[in-house]
Amino acid sequence: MTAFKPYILPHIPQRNEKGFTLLEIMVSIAVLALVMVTLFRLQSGTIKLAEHGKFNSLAPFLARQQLTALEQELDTPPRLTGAFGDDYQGYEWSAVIKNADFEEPAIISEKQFENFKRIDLEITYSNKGRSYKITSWRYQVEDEDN
Amino acid sequence: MKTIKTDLQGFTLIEILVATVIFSVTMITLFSAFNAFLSSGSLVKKEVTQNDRFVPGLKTMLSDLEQIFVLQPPRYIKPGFNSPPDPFAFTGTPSDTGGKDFSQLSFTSLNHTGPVAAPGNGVAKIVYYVNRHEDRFDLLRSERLAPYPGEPDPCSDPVLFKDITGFKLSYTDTNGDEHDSWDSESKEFDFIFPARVQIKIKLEENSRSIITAITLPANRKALE
Repeated sequence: MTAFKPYILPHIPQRNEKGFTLLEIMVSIAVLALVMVTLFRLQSGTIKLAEHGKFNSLAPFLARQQLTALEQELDTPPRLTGAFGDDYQGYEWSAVIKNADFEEPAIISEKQFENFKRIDLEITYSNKGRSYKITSWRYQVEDEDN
Repeated sequence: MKTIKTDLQGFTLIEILVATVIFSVTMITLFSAFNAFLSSGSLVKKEVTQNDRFVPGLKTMLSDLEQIFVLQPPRYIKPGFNSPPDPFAFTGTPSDTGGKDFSQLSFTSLNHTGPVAAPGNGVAKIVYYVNRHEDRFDLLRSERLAPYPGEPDPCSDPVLFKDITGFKLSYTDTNGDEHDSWDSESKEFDFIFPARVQIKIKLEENSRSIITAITLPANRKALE
């Protein structure tokens, strides 16, 4: 009696049976990583640009609003820095109001010179280096009664 | 007789488990990254579209108000008991459109797109009003040259902002007090125009409102 012999499928070697080598895997991963990094960088660039665009389109309107508010009390502005409320978190403004500088002050009288103000307004967003600056001039007209 | 290869053995359970875990972690990371990739793209698109939506409309409104027409005395006469309405009045009222609070504003301006019929006849009455379109609201701008025939017509007036959820104007008088409405024909407002107009527009329910303000370039003195 012959001993029990387990039946094992005969191993037929095929041409393609070899796996990938470590080198091949590494090269393919490197290519994949390169592509991914490029894509993500592209995407983050787009996001940054969109944010920039948003700031650039919002800031002029905010600046306009702030200028309108500042005009009311040019001589004694209650505040020279501030924010824009909950809807505009991260947006801040700061202003400098001073007498306009003339190269030839003789053009207008000293009294008129005092009424001529220069407003430098800056809108910033989250201190991320995004800023919008505008300079405007206002002449305060005195009442005829005075 | 063929020789039996020794490494024909399978994997152990542990090996399979470890391999599956590694595979699933990698896949989850990849898919969530890809998801974030796609959703950030659509967010960016939304933001950009919104910016494109509000800028032209607001610019139109601001230039309308910049060129506001204010009739000065002595040509302006304080309205008496039975006098006809001032054709150059500035009236801003809260309006209830479809159960929502919006603002409505009517004033005259030199900024108009229509043809000028005759020299000196370049004043147009401009009305901003909200029109309900099914369950959406549009802000429309009506413009009629003097003598302002007819009424604002939502069928033909151009749309300034489509699908808004809020439009609110407030008016500041020369003393710095804010009002929700304004009527230059009323003694309450000394028959003058507001010094400043604040504009607040909300495009979508969950987005921020866009705010801006403008100082009107001309006014007349308070009439007793």
